[in-house]
Amino acid sequence: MDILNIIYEVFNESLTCIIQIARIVIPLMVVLQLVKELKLYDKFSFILNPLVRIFKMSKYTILPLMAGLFFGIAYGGGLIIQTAREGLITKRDIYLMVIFLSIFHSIFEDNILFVAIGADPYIVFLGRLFLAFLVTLLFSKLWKVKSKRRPEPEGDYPVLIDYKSYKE
Amino acid sequence: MTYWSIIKNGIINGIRITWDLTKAVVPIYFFIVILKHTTAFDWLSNFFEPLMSYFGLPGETALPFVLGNVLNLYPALGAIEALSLSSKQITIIAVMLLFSHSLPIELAITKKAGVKIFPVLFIRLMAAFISGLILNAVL
Repeated sequence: MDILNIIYEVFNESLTCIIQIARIVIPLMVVLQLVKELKLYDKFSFILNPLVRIFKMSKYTILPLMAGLFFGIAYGGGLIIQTAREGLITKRDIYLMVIFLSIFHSIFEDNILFVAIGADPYIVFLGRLFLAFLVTLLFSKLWKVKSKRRPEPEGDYPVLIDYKSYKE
Repeated sequence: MTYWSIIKNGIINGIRITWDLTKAVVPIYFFIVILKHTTAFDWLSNFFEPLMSYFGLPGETALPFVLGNVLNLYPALGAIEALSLSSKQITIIAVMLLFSHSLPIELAITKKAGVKIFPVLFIRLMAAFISGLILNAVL
């Protein structure tokens, strides 16, 4: 094979792949930016209420979990550290959150990158969710709640902590 | 903050990701196409064949798996794209990589959050391997 042919093949095919991804990623990032800046992910936090109840975690874990699911482990991890510093969550909460988020995070961006190159969207999404749930459930059963924690916030929604001091 | 500036930031983020992706995908793609024309590729493929065949994958998919875990998902995407895989194989390697990727960076964050690295590393690698085995059997 001629070297010019190889170079042509590389640029043609790799750029096709990138354009394919860019067409999905750029609109997605606009939506995610709106969700982030307008704090819309608070609005979805009720989805995690049953999950947090099953795992017997504090409601204060909902916000970091939500942030990790939407924006990835770096952002979620930052909020975990912040929440822990405020003394709102126990070591058990932190471990369970990190285990759950390690397996299942950045659910839009990461998944879509693979779906764009031909992976099955349902298997990629549901498979990951299912295993994250199963593993976290296992650890939540193994690690019993012992220590007394601070009183939980009222109602279904987590009390919003002032995260302004936290920089991404 | 106005809607327009939020949308602008979103577009900038999207372009930044696309640019990062391009920087990773093009060189890796180039590298693998060159590699394909050498005997090293066959050697590598045969060497990893016994391991990767458990997941229904050809030996050379060890490349994207290692790249994704040691670096991040972008070069792994380039490598997957450069190897000609079936849609079943792409789904399997995608799920495996989604469970376990960017380990140096993500485990550092794990540690910062106050969680020991080893259990998380173990869980993620096990999740990748077990999901690969199951998907190969089911799909």
